[in-house]
Amino acid sequence: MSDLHTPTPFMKLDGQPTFEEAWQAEALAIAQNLINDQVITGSDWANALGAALQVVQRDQDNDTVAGYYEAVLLALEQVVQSNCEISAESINAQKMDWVDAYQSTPHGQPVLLKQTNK
Amino acid sequence: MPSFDANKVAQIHQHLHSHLPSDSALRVKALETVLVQKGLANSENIDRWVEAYANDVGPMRGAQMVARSWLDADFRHRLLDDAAKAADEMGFSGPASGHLKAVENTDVQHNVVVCTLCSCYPFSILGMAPNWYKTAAYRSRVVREPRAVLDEFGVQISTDVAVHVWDSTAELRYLVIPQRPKGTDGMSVDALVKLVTRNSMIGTQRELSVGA
Repeated sequence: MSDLHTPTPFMKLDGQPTFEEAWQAEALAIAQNLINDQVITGSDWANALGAALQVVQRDQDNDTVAGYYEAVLLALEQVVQSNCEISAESINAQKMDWVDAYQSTPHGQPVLLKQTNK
Repeated sequence: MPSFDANKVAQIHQHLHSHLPSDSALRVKALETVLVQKGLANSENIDRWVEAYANDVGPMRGAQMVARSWLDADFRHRLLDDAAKAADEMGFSGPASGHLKAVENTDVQHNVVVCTLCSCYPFSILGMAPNWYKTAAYRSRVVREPRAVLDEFGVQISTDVAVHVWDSTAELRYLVIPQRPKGTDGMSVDALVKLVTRNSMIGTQRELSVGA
């Protein structure tokens, strides 16, 4: 995990990868596509991300790449619940479906949700 | 007393071999799935964005705009007048450059950009924001003590140069036009493009190097 907390010098953070894990890019991609498709506004996103950053980065030890994307994910869940008529429960249920799919898929085979596999 | 539960062992074995993604990755997959199911997102568009911004789009488009502005006074006027239109003119329109303002460094003014709220950034012309741009440390400090922060980037601004900090929003993002370095007379636009760095277009670099 990259340490962003020590800001002196900021230059030491230059050149480090923007994304540490694929889901971080995917989360930003979803947010940007929701803006592009006018499902949410740029301001909706900025406000949600700003609020999530305030929460996550309140702890200075979380002023990290990982902390930033933790805030991105929290903000994405918040805007989806607020703007897309999708509940936290249905997101969590979908997550558990993915857990089942991964755990029931034999090694080396593509992981598919049960309903999409029928 | 040691015990053996065959079912539990089988479960553990399956779990270890399932390559279960992290909780965060699963949450993102769940969000994408429910959005696609509701017709609010398209997996191909999401994949295309990841492909473009994780790999392809860097600060090159911004550098091309800056280099052209050094050579073409009319373009520079248009860039300063309406940067979004100037980006359009160069074929660089994009979602994060729709409301773009260009600000020029001069002998008496240096510009530096931040987003104090979150991390708004003209990524369609500068690529993804650097990691330091997203830190609470940068976002809070550059407004309060810009010269000290710039000093940490190795940039010393003399006291006769004003430092203007521009706070980006979702509606308005900024592109700093650095000063053309001395000793570049006669250089082609392609050669000039190579001198323009990402940080110079955010304002955390002032002098561009010719002999790099």
